Amino acid sequence: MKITVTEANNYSILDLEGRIDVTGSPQLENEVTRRIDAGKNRLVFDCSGVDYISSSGLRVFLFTQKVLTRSSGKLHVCCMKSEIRDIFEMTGLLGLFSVFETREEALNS
Amino acid sequence: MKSTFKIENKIEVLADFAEAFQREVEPWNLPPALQMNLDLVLEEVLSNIIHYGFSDQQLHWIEIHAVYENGTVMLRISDDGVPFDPTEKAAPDLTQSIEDRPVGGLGIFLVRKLMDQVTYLRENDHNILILEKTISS
Repeated sequence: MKITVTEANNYSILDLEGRIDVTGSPQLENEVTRRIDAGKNRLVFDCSGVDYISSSGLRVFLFTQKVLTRSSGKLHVCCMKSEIRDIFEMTGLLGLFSVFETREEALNS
Repeated sequence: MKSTFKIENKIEVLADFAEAFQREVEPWNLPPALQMNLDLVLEEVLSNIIHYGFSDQQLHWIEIHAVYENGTVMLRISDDGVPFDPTEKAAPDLTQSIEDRPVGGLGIFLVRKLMDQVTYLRENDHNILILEKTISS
């Protein structure tokens, strides 16, 4: 998977691209941990380029949300394709995240 | 239509396997959503076997048979790891709050949710998991 990070509106936006699978998830976890360790606790996961997520990816989303909730940070998830949204819904995770249709909404909330 | 694969018990082979599987089943013309779901359940089952199935550091082979007949896809995965019956695993509590929700345990749940039938057998010191999904017309 490919991760591109942009800073805007006091958020770190992580553009996620490709497969968040058992090989890609550690990369995402490392990137998130590096950001949080550097004091960035307002993150946006832009999922417009994500076409696959497995439980290892869901685990990183959950881990990020837990850490940021504890540190009064924010995780906004945006632009999920319907098949990715279905996986979140099926696993009862959708309600645990702040999910937005567009990147603009995610940045202005 | 049938295909058979044999992979080593190493996480790093899973990406190549996923690509090979997609290539192999492409002529089956499965609905795209089902193709993605098969990809997903295979990753969940195989990564589970590789992570937890073997107590030694030896090389083990995992066999995957895929069959598509009369509108039903059947995947049969066998390994010589420690006995593990995923059908016995309790489903996670999906109503828990973010603080209480464990980060793991979703893989097997997804497999059971995405497939119509999940059967486990222990035969000749092998775990055999049979996953079936019928395409709804």
